[in-house]
Amino acid sequence: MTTRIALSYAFGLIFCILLQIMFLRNLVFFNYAFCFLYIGAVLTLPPAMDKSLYLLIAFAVGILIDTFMNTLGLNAAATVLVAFFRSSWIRRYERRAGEDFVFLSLRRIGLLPFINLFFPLILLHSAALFLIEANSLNLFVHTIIKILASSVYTLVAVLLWQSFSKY
Amino acid sequence: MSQLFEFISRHRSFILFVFLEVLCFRLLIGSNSSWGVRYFNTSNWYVGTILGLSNSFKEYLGLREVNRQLAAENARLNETLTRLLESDPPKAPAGYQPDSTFAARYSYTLAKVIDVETKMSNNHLTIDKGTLDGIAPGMGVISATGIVGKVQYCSPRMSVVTSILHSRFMVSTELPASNEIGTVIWTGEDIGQVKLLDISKFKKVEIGDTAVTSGYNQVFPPGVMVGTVSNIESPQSETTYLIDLKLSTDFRNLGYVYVIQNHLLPDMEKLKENSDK
Repeated sequence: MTTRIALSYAFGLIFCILLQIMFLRNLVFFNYAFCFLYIGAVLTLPPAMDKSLYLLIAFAVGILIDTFMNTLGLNAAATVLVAFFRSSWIRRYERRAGEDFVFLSLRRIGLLPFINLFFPLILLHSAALFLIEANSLNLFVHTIIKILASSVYTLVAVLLWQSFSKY
Repeated sequence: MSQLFEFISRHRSFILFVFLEVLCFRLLIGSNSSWGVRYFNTSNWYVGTILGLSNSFKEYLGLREVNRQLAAENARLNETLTRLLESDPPKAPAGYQPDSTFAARYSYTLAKVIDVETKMSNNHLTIDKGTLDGIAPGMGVISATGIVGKVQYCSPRMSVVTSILHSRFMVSTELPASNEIGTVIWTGEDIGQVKLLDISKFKKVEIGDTAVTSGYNQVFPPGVMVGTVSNIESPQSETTYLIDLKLSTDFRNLGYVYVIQNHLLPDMEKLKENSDK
């Protein structure tokens, strides 16, 4: 991996985090759909990265987002969870598709595989986040609607962001 | 022993994962842990600065709404202030008890100025409220800084206001410092200057004195700012001063105005008509 590509990943991550804490934090639809664009930036980091390093990056990003949202530990827990399951999920997908992914960008792997690959992970992230936040099953239907709406919203945001990126 | 290290090495990412998750939940549950309270929240200086930045951007976008709210609040406060002043006038002798309907005769409606004319010899301005909002010809119009004019025509949604910069517009004006009442008229020269006539030479007038609407007005409540004295001439042959007033309202950047309705005006006019017969 060249320095240029590494820099572009770093830039993408910083851009998503800044966008998240400056704007998307306040861009909530109908009190149900929340956008977690930063998870897209975390998920599309190169799969060849050392797994421990990857977990630490996910944790750091989660804590940073939490600091700005006054929910210390919540985003971090969900992000670390998704980061842990990402590698085995990608390996399974690669085995089924019969090819190895080096870059996980929309441009390289195409729209449908991208959605197939990342939507379950985004859904897992939203589910973990809202279930931990709800801390009970009292408002279960409410939470489920929130999870589904937020995953779709986040996926759309990630696709939009990816369609602007160069690699 | 070496097996143990090998085990840890093989499962290091899983162990790290469990450790991080435990840490997250520890943070989540113990939200009053001292370093959590101290560093990782929005009261942190860096976090606060960045949030302030994004908030100031949002504030800038919201200025229009804030302006509208402030203007609406001013209209309400003006109405209350006039009612309170009228129900207990500061200059009235003890024992004067005004009627409550009389004291509450003025009500204020907020309007936005959509067009201002200043270059003619008879100037008008257009506001975005009309008969549907209860505006009628003859009502007084003031701004946050002072007197503006009088409503001339109304359509259902718009009104044309004769501004004070009009050759036939006269306002009964008082100089509170010298306790004299005169008439303000625009001579058509400068949009910042009006003339104050009929002030007796036997009173003392100084440059800088404020001029406000008098209690003899039918459309304006007493005490609305008109301007300040900027020049005093005393012609030999006359018994009155020729005073220049600097208008307090800047017509070039009028934003919101208040239309004043005097609820007792029809009664007053009817009374006058009857007494003329």
